[in-house]
Amino acid sequence: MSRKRKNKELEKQKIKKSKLIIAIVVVFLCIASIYWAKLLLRDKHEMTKSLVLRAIGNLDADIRIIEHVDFQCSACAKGYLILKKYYKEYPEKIQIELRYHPWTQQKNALNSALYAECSASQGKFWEYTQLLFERQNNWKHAEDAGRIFQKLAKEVSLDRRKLIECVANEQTKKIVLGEKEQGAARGIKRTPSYYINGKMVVGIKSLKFELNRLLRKYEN
Amino acid sequence: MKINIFFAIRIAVGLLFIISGVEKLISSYQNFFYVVQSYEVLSMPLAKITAFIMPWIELFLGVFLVIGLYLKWTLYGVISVLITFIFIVSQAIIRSLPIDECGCFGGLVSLPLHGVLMMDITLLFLTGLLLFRLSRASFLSLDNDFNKE
Repeated sequence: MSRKRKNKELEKQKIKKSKLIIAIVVVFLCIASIYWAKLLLRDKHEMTKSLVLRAIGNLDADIRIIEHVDFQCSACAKGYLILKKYYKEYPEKIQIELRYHPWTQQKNALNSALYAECSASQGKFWEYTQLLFERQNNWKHAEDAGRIFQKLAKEVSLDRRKLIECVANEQTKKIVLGEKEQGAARGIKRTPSYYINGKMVVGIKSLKFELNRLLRKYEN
Repeated sequence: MKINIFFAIRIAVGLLFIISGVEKLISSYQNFFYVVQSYEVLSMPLAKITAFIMPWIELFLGVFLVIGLYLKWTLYGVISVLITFIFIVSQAIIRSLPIDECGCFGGLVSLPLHGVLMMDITLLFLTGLLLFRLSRASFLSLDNDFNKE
């Protein structure tokens, strides 16, 4: 009887061992699959050299920031204020470049980006986008945001006729949406997202953390 | 042909967890880190650790659920995770945190907080059901194969 019981126990141990081995193999395969998938997608996510179209600051700055924003996103507006504060305090250490990432399901996101791009072509990009962010609550849910965007444009002395022509131009839409596609290919899934010296950072908490870390590093 | 509904539920819940885990793992870690921070429950270091570990937990639980290995413990794990999610989402709703979408499936699906709370409660119920009817849920599972041996 005890021999039978011993055999049963041995069989149980064997099964336990086999299960454990299978579990370890499965875990290993999962990890390997994920890293293989990340490797495959890595080329898509790597940043291509981009023209500095909408950049401000020292080209030789220690801290180079590319921000991907949606002008209708409230966190992006907060992020803008934070970057403005840091840039004011450390103008020599920081360079900022802005990329469009409008969430097209949002009412006026795309339209605001079109107006911003058209303000860039008249050399008033930073002045205009400052107004867009500061007055975000005025146009966010507006039915006729275009009228508000044109009012803002007047404040920074943009040529109204040129602005309207530019906004209506399909090429402008191509630029904005093309940039969004590039951002998505780089792994942008939320706004605001930033690439700070090549490192991706999402959200304003992480932005502040990373900026403070880099400023401490370059101060030393 | 009689359909084993418990087996179907097991596979469905497992696949959901796999998809959720994989989507978070293949995109940049920073995206899910931002999601974890948004719920304002954990400190920065703990949020970082959670953002790193949670997708792997989801993936492993999902895979083990689908293949039916250590099924009982996997179901306990799934229930624990779901209870945690329900707590975190509930506190975000109560505190009216400015979170537009839960971030549960990375960037795949956009779900508002109330929607995800209902989904998690449903999943918790279904998982509880699987635990209650473990023998039926173990249909076509590795655990069953080993038990036969």
